Formats: sequence, structure tokens, C-alpha cells
Amino acid sequence: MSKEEFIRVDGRKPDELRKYSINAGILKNADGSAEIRLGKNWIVVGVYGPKEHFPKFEALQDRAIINCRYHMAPYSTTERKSPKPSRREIELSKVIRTALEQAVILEKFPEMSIDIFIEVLQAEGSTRVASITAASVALAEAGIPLRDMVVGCSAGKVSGKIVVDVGEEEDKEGEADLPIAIMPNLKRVVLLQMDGKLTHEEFKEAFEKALAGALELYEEQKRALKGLIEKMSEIPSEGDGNEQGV
Amino acid sequence: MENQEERDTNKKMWIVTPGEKVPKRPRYGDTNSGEAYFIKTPIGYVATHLGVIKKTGRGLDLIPYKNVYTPRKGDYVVGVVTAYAPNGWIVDIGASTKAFLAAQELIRRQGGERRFDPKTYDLTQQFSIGDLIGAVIYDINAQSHAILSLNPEKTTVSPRHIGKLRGYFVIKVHTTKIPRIIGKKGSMIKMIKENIDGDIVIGQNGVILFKGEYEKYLLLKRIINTIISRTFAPGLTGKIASMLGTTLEDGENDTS
Repeated sequence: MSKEEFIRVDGRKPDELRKYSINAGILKNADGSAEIRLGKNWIVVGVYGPKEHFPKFEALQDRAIINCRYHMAPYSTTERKSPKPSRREIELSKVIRTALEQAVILEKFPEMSIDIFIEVLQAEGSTRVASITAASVALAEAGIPLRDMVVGCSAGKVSGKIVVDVGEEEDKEGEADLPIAIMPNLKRVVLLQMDGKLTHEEFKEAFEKALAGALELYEEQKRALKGLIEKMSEIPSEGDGNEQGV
Repeated sequence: MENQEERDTNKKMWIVTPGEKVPKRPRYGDTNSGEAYFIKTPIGYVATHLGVIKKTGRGLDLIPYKNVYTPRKGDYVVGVVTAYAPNGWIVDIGASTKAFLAAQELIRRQGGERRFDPKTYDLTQQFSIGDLIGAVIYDINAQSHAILSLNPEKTTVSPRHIGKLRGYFVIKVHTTKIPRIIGKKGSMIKMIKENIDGDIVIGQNGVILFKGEYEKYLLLKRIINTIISRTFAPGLTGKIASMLGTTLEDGENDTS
């Protein structure tokens, strides 16, 4: 077996993420907001609520409802995408909602609803996990209580090799892809889907790689959120402590 | 993870994001805001909000970056009448649920003895939609709606700030900023009131009203914006004092 490392179509190593950045609080009018750039993916999320759920008969007596809309802008893909919600968008709205429901403390807001609007401005593969990562930052920025952050990353099999953070081309050409979302502190998996075929060993390797990618993105989530407070203070987020008087 | 925790226990203040473990059992219930910002999970106590943790003599306090305003009994709030109910008014107080003000409350405030009769009492004559109202929350019902009162028994609010409010400038801030605007034992707001002529009203729901000269209103707005943008900075009272052109006495400046 060759010892030469496998180089991917965009020049990355198998366990290398695309360039990423997360920003929180980017929209003035939404209660909470965030954007993520992951490679050429550019996703903006706005959160409203909690507010009284309407229509009333749909409201739940013991907890809040999350309304999630994942939407791809017509200019997000190489060919114009119809702005009408597609089957895929409706499905992704559902899987993102169920992933985030695990983290939000919904029991605090009975008979209410929280709206999450995800706009994919530019898409380049793995948008569902990038959307979850940004939506969780937007929820935290809105002051909605969370058990833990939710962070997602994907892995896949391309030319027989397991790679992390699958891009658009790799998604189309590859043999399999495995998007996951986790709650990093509580060590829980909140989303796990698989497209294609992987052997047991390959699955394990892909899962490990996606997990490592998610943990890397979790650090970026924390940096984005802590940056909001650092802007308002002189308190260092890292340091030896003790220097702050109370 | 252990090192992180160890470092945190040595600090007096640090920033947390939701899901981050806190080193020991945090203080519950009696925080400045009366809210619990921690939950117990299988890994221990974790923060549920983004904020700054402060170690005080009594335990750990979390000052949230943002929080959903939950009405509490005894809060003085300023709201806008948004609709009529059969026996009162629906008031938007900026919380996740609407508040209700019974017409009987107004009858009692006006000294009336009679009971509310929907056939003879014209709700529109008293408050119209869009009117600004100051009231105290006296109950939260099973549906989490705040029930407002115009006749609070124990309150420090001046009677002229209860009922319909006219001719005020309105400044809306996030509710988590209100404790900072009021300051430690009311130090900040006391200083602002002493140096700005006019009537300043602060609602716990994040509405600040001002009646006075327009220039004074602009100064107040500038001061509030400074407080908001430097919420977590130490020595804020000193900075506000310099903006107001006054000096602080020894020990008056808070360092938190």
C-alpha cells in the first residue's frame, strides 16, 4: 500500500476541513442570528421567539414548538433554484428541527414557539450540518436556554478513502456520505444520516473523522459567541485569571 | 477538560457558552434576575446561556448576554395596549406572552365602587389601542400570561407612573441590561437622575421612558447606549460620571 497521502479534489488532506468562520449577532432585527462560511458555503440564520404559538390549537401544553425553515436562495446553486420549497428542503427543515429540539430547553416555554429561519446564500455540499452549527449559535445568541450547543460535520467515502467535510463535488462523485450532529459536552448524537454504502470499519472511521471535525467547529462556535461578550468588556476569555476584581 | 475546570475555579469571572460545565454547584433562585441559568445534567451542572460567570461569596452567578424576558410578580412594566378583551385590555409588555389588564382595576383606581358591567362600561373611552401603560404584575396565570394591576399594594413605583403615560420619549433596551442601568443598589440610576433633569421611568421589561428636554433625552440615550455596549466592563460608573460631567465620591465606582 502506498504511503503517499491521498489528496482530495480541492487539494485538502482526508482529515482537513474546508476554511471556516462563524459570526454571531449579524442581523440587527432578529432576536438571534449567526452566519457560517464553510468553504464556499455561506449560510445565514435568524431566530425569533419564543412567542405565543399561533394557531392556538396546535400549541403544546407542556413545551414550546420549534418552527424551522431551511431555504436555499435561488442564486445559491450553479443553476437557478426555484424559490418554492422543494422536497429536499422540507426534509432538511425537519431533520434540522429534530436535531435542535434535543438541545433547546423547550419545557421552559409551554404553548409557545421558536422560529428558526435558515437561508443558504451559497451552497457547496454539507449544508445541513453547517446549518445546524450556525442555527445553534443563533439560538444561543437569542438568549434561548440550551442544554448544550449542537455542532455538525460530515464525512464520506471518495475513491475508496474516508474523508471529512464532504464538498459538493465529492458528494456527487463519492460512494457514501455520513452527516452527523452532536452535543459535544453531553456526548450525544442528535443527527446521523447515511447515503451510500460503508462497511462496518469504514463507518467507524467515517464517524470518528466527522466527530473530530465537529469538535473543531465547536471551538469556532465558542469563539464566535465569546467574541460578543469580549466586545462589551475587558474580561479576557482565556488567561491566568485572578486579575479581575469583582 | 480537567485543566479548564481547575483554571475556572481559580478565576473570579469568566465567559461561558451553553453546555459548558461549571466547576461546582451554582447558586440557584436568588440571583439578581431571579433566574436559574444552570441545569443539572449527567456530566454535572452546565450553563444554559451565553454569559459571564461571577464568583461571589454566596456561589456562582451568571450574568447572561441575552435572556428571554419572563414576567415575574411585582415587576413594574411599561406596555402598549394592543387589543380589547371582553373585560379589559390586552397589553404587549415585550414578553413572550401578552399581558392582561382588567377593567375592574381601572375602576378601583378611579375610586369607583361599582362592579365592571360590559353593557354600560366603554373600554375604548379609557385606553385606546396604542396607549402606553405603566402597571405592576400581580399574578401570572396558568397560561403564563401576566395579569397587571394598577393598584399595587407594596411598590416603590411613584403613582404617577402607573396608568396611562403621556408625552414620554421611549428607549427600548434588552431586559438583561436593566440591572446594569440601575447599578449596584441603584447607584447608576441615582447618579443619572441627579444629573439629568426630567422624569425617568424604568420598566423591568426593558422600556425606559423620559420626559424632559430633547437635548437631555439625547444625552440619556447616549449614556444608555454606552452602558449597553460596555455591559461587562469594569469601571463603567466612572465613565458614565465623566459623560455626565460629574465626579464620583470615594468607593462609589463599581469595578464589576
